[in-house]
Amino acid sequence: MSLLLIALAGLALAGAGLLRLPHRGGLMGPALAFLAGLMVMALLIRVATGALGIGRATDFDAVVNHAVEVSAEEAAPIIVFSGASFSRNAISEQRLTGLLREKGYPHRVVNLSLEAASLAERDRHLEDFMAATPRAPDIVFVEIGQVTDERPAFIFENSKFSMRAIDQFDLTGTRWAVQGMLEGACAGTTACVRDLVLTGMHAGLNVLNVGLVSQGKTLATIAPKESYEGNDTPREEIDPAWRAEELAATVEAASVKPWARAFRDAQRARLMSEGVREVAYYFPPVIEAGTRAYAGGLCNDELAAFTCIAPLDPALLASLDGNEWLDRDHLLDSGAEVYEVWLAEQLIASGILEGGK
Amino acid sequence: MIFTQPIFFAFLAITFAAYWLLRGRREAQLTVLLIASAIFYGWWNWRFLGLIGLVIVLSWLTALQAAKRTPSRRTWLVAGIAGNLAVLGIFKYAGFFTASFAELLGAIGLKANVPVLNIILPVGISFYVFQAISYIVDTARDDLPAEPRLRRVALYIAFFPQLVAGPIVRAASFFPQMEYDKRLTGELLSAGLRAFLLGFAYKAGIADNLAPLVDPVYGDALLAGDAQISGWSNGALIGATIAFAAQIYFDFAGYSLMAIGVARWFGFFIPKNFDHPYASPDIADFWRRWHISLSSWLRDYLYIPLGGNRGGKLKTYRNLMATMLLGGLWHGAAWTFVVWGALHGAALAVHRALYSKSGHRIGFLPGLILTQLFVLLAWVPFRAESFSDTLEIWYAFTGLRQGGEGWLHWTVWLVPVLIALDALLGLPAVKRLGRAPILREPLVYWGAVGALTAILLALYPLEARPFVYFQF
Repeated sequence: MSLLLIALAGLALAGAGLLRLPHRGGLMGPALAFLAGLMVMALLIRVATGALGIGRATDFDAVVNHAVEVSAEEAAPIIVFSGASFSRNAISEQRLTGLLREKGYPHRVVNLSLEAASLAERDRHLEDFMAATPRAPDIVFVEIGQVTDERPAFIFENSKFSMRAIDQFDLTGTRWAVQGMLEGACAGTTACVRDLVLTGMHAGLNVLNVGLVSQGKTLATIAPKESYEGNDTPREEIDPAWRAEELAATVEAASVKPWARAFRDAQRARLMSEGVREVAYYFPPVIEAGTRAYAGGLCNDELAAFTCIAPLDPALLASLDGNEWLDRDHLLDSGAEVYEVWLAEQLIASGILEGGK
Repeated sequence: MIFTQPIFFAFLAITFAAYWLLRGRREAQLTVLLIASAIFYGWWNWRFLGLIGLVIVLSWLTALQAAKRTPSRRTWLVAGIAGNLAVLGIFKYAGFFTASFAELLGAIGLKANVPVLNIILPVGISFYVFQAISYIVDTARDDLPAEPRLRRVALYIAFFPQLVAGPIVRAASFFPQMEYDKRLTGELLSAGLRAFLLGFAYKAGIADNLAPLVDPVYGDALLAGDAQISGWSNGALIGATIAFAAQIYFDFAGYSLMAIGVARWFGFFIPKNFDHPYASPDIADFWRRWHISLSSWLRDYLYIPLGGNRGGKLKTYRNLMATMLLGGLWHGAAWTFVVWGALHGAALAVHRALYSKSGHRIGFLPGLILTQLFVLLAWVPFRAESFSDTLEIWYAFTGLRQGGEGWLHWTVWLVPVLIALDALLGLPAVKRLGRAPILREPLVYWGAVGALTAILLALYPLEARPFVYFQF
């Protein structure tokens, strides 16, 4: 329970306790006065929570705090991988760091990923990391997933009206989500309308600070936590024949939504201006050929000028044609080990690490 | 459906619109309220609609018969009361008494296969059974004519704003309110809003935010059985007890205020249930301010029928003790509640003995400190999960208890400030402040309501907690 909570509770008690019945008045004046009182107080609360470092605590803050801690402890150049559950299950920062160091690269890998994280949510926490880290990372690798490009309100897949869902629809997050949805980045008209309505409601709750003081915490005090946990047991039974067929298949990539391209451009420009040496792109392996092809398409087209690592190598895919899968989209710990070895080779081969040596 | 949940606001808006669209058609409006009350109650568990229906029909029939000037009216009165108490006994106390009986047999070395009943406690049963009893007794006493229309009795017992956690409304106060047409006015809306906002501030703004200080120490009341008292320091145990004293007051008083506000929006007046009890300088005064509708019910339907203070000192003490023991048991089917009631019964008896002997009080401040310290200590068995926990927490208050490492956040020591602030708001001089002309100017008033709403939203816990008194 924060001091701010006690202070606001006291203010609410005094205010509600003192108010008696008002004199008669018109409709418009009192309505405007109500709105003004609401918005001014909401703004004051936002300023106060900002000054005290209080925010809606989510698992992402624990991951950010871990990244900040690593960044402060190690002198080596930092490589940040920012993604959703694909990356969370695919990159053990300890192992990948070890693989790079075995090859003579001193870099320290940090995995800043969480399941169901939309582009905007990831970017918000990347910004939190940038604000708190004592030095800018050398390279930021941004996950390029089809599902997050095609659904800017991807969080609704995972939760609604939660602290995490409300938190990500700040003004910036809402702007990108609405822009994406207006371009049709959702599955059909009904889904678009539903996502738009939900986005509007969450944005309203965000602006009005709902639950911010009650459940908000001083973000800096949240215990750090590494993103990668590693799973040993599959959660989905996968047909081996289908898996082999999909891993061997090559299909045409789906078209990219313009909003996602604009988002990446803006994000890249900002990160570079904040001192990041290189912004690069990647996508971990998945079984479905179409999803891999989307990442490959991006690497060959929109992101051709940047380092971009898509999991299209037949050798990699062949080595994952076994019990390496948590489900069709995520790797088990054994699969992550295979991917990390391949990823380390790709990182070295791309030459992106050289500038940071 | 809880008053602080978004679904309740949708339910309220629909009921409000339907009710006032039918203004001028009183019977139709009452039907809307009755249907809404059935939906509200059925939301928890529709099966219990049958139970409350049974209580309504039983009370309606027996009251009609008990009101007739026939030799059998007393039999009908007893049947009505016994029937209602039987419902309460089966659904609330059967499991407790069979378990206690089995324990007693075990304690004296007898092994008996007593079946322990696990019956789900229907929400609000203690409240609506007491309302039903008051209706039967009042008609039998000729304080109120028996109501021939079942729908009126049903609405009195099941009126949704106060159905599940009171205030316990008297029939003599409620029935006349069903007999006149109501007008939707700005004053009515503002009065309802004022009570509702204050209640919301109590409940969602304060009580729910105190739960994280209380539950880790005493155990989560909702999950039951995970308290680890021995791991906590003396300071944490004392702090959590203070936090609970504040939590239960702001929770229950908040619910009552919201019930009053909601009822007001439908043109019904429900009397207040709390009057700043933590400002009481003696225990008798505390009970005039705490859960007023229950304490006055116990006074009128238990203490006075037992003889009240008419049979000499010893009988008065006995009656006080019996009333408070049953009042404790009313709160929950557990011996810890009986102990809580016994402590208050004993305190009331001691207060009465000292007051009648000396004829004057010990002074406001010493009285306030002594009374509130006693009330605080008495909350321990009310909230603790066992007698051993109770004794350990009381021991912690002495400062002599050793061990325990766990500490609560230091802000727990600011909780008394909120209690003191609430007590201050009860002072006449402070109340007059609210009537200052500037605060009643529409622009100032509605601007303040807007600011207050922003504060309450920031304090609103996303996971709404049930009211503490729902379990009673």
